[in-house]
Amino acid sequence: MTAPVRANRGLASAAALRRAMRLLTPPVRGWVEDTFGRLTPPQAAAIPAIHGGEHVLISAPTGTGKTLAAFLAVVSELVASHEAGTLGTGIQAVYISPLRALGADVQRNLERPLAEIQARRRDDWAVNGSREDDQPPIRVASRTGDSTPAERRKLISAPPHVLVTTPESLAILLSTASMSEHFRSVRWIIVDEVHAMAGGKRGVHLALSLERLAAAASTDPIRVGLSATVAPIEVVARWLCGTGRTPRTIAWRAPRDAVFAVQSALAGEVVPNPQRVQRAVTKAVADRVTSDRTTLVFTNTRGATERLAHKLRERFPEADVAAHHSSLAREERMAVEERLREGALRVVVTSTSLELGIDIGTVDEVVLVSSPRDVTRALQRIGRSGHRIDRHPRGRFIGTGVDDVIECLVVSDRCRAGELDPIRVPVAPLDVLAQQLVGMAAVARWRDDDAYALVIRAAPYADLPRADFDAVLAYLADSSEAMEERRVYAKLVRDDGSFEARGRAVATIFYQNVGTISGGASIRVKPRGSPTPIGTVEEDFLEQLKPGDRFLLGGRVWAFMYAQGMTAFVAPAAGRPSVPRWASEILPATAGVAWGVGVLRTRLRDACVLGGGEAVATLLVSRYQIDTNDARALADYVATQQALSPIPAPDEILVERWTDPDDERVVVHAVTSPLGRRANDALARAIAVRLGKGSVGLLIDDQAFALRVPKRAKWDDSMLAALFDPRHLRDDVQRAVARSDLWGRRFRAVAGIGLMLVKNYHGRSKFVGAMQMNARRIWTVLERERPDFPLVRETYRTVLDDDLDVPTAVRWLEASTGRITLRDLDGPPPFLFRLVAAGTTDSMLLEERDAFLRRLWERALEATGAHAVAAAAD
Amino acid sequence: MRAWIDIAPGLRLTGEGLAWLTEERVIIAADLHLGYELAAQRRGGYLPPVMRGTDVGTRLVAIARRLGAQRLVIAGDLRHSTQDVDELERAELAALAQVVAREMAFDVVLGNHDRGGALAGTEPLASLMIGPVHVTHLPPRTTPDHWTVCGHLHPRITVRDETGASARYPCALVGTRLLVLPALSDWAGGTEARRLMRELPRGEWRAVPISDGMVADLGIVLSSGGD
Repeated sequence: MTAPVRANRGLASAAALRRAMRLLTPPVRGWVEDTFGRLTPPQAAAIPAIHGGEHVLISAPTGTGKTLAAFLAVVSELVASHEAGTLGTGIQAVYISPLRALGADVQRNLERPLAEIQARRRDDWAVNGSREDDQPPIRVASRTGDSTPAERRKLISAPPHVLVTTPESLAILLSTASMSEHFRSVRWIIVDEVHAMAGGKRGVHLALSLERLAAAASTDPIRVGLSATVAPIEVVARWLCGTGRTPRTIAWRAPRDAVFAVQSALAGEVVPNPQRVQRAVTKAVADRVTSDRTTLVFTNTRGATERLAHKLRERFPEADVAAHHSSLAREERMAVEERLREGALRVVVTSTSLELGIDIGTVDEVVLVSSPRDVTRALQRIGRSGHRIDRHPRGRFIGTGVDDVIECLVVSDRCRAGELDPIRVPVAPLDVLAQQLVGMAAVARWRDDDAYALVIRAAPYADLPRADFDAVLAYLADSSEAMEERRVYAKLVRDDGSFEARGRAVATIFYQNVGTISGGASIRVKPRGSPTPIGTVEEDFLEQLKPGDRFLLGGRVWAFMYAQGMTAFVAPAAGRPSVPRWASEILPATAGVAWGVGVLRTRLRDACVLGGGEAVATLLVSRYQIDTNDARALADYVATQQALSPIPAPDEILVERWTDPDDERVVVHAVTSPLGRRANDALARAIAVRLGKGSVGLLIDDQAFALRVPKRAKWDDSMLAALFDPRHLRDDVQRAVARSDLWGRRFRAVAGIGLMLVKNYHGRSKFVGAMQMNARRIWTVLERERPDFPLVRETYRTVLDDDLDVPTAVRWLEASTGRITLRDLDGPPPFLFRLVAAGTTDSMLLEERDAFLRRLWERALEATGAHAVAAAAD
Repeated sequence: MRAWIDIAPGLRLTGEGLAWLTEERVIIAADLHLGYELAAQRRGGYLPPVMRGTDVGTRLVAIARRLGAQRLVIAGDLRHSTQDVDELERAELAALAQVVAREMAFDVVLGNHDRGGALAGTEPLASLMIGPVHVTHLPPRTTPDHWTVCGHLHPRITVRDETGASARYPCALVGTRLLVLPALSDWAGGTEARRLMRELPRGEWRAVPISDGMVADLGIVLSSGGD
């Protein structure tokens, strides 16, 4: 499930450092010597490789100078070309970062070094008597979604030597006819923050753009990838370079080994009240702040960020505390970043917005409030501290609930051991392909064969069947339709084995809808009487709410009151959510972390069996340095569970069930399964479909899942082997997901990326908005009428391969065959409190829609017979 | 479930979501939105043609034959696009008119989407009185004096059982002397009945889901203008 990081420990020899330094041109070398004294090991490894014309992937934590490694190598070559008089006018290097707010960083990382290097050269001329213009000869310009029209025009009239851009803006530039000439001269492509992109559709989109850029250049450019620590590095290397190119991989980890600590904030209770936890968390964080210069605190949600920042401001002078998250205005975020760099802040609280590589100066310690759910993310966050090669990053996890503390212990152990969860690259998504084919057609007429050859050079498409490629072209040209005259609105014209864009409007559609980040209309949710929203829900979720419905947002239950425009007003509520919600805002634990929790629970159980709660508490205090009171609470938690319902080993299947206290017609069947939410989601749905009829409610989290079934459909022992059969699981998952709303929700995003339901067309028109709103309805028509339509198939693929984790579920069922226990309880046992209170909820119809309606109708006849019969009578 | 239910003497709701005037032998359909696929494509998107004029016409003719209807009335929004009629859309509308006109009389009540005059061989009417029943596109603002059949709102209703499973269906809304028809178009999304209450005259409304040619009156009652 995990792959250890293989750090290349031979990188740092003094001879290697000297050799690399000698490869830099004199002004660049002088600048490095004066500014840093020496190169960092990743720089020393990367510079000779890039100099020698190799593709390079550098995997190293933040602060090891990897961005500068790429820039130094390239700038050195550019200065050399300039001095030799061979520096041309076109773009020489393209630097791509997922962050739009690049301006300040690029200025710091590139323009200042260039200016300082130029100043050194000027000093040399003063000595040698040569003369030159004062301006740095190497020009840098950025193109992002924030660029002004004037900046965009200048890019075309006077292209820079180094172009700094985002994946989306790069795709637009590659689809702009007047830019084509400028890309011919590209010699280097630098891709930053690779780890943040390779595992999703955004990375697939970029992989195709990289091939398009390579095809536009007259010689195949050198690719340099910069990544945080990731695994498996071969997968990322292949993503970066495509098929037929092999990069040198430089994995660096050694002297920055981090220091990890876990702390609990339970207030000594198994089920502490939220205010007490908040106080304990605030105190734990505040204790770190007084002892360090700058502390960076990560939470998992924007709401938690705001709450904590607010509480800290009550303890420290306002000016010492700042919050930073993605819904803050850009100016405000940049002001916080600037103060961070100046060391003017004592504590900054953030959610995910400071995870990526904005240079944030010197942070002494990173505090993670709540488990970050993922080892790669934890390392990335902690890597923001000790922000110099010679300082150790320090990370402190603060667990905010019993399960959370246990998970923090697991994450911290796995960080220490370097057990990263593997990154997965989506396989051949047809929606991204459709979009990029439109972009390609916007600038040139393509022979089908040539376009296909380009596409399969990108790693995610290496195994793309030609038939799928042709089906996407057929969709874009509407050429599967019988009537010739209907094609006037198609995006592509196909003719004699070639295709091109139909008119200029096609390029506009591409520019306005580029990328894979889907932004459905979101509705702000506000408690009535409160000025601040607590979060957002999707428009179609709001559609189905009636006043009084309870739903989960930000980990709390709210009752819907009424909606006004784009705002929904709610009130705090108690009890179980009454409306299913696909809680995409909750981070899922990775399979590796979830499994680790299962293993640790078993270890705590074993201590409990041997020595009772005392032994558990002793283990937690001695092995993990947990606070004594909190260790006692954790021990209670384990001992109570063990007494009520013995804790299974991770590879045993335990089904615990009880009558739903909210509705006695329903029996909850809960399965303990330490597989992470993506696998549990797949498993829960497959088992539901194996039940065969009626309907079920689902509760899903990382450690367990539950099915709420009508009492008459209660399971018995004879059913268990069939329900948990590992065979045909994928087929059953596919059947199952077709019976829930998951497809329709996914289809909206897929259809947006694949330019079927476009997000923008000359602005966001009413009709375009309505089409997006209508995606679920459109899905039901298409799925019935056109199951082979490429974007219908892509919707299936996205859900089955990207959203759910079927392989992990199958492996678990195989490993636990024959070890299934069914146990009746009076109510949920402690280990399932979290699932029942806060798991993702959904429901599935296992019968046809009209059969469901018939069932409800028959029930209505029974219940309110008089009314329904009267209404139906002649 | 039933193939139809009686709304008022001589006025039925069929499982296809049509009103059926048994005395006058007239079927009333609302919100066909022909040309929706073309509108999607003209705005940079794409939908494969599913609601073609010929297909919709054939569907309506089959229902009329089964019931013995002699006249078809469209309660507005025959076409989707509120502007830009082009040759393709003209052809869709003509195809529908041709299929229908061979079998029965055909009238169109003007919907807010229907501009451009006699696009389907018949000049749209502002509203229409058929026997005792008034046909309009928009729902009236106050409780009408006559039974009125209208469209425009595309009502839908979500129903749920004890496990939390739910499904969403097109539905008719039945109030005091007013029947709001569901949209006939396959593509039509729709608005949850509860959220339509403020657009309707004050009173109680029965939401009647339809599915697969059947009507299922579950006894869902909503009220508008209540508080």
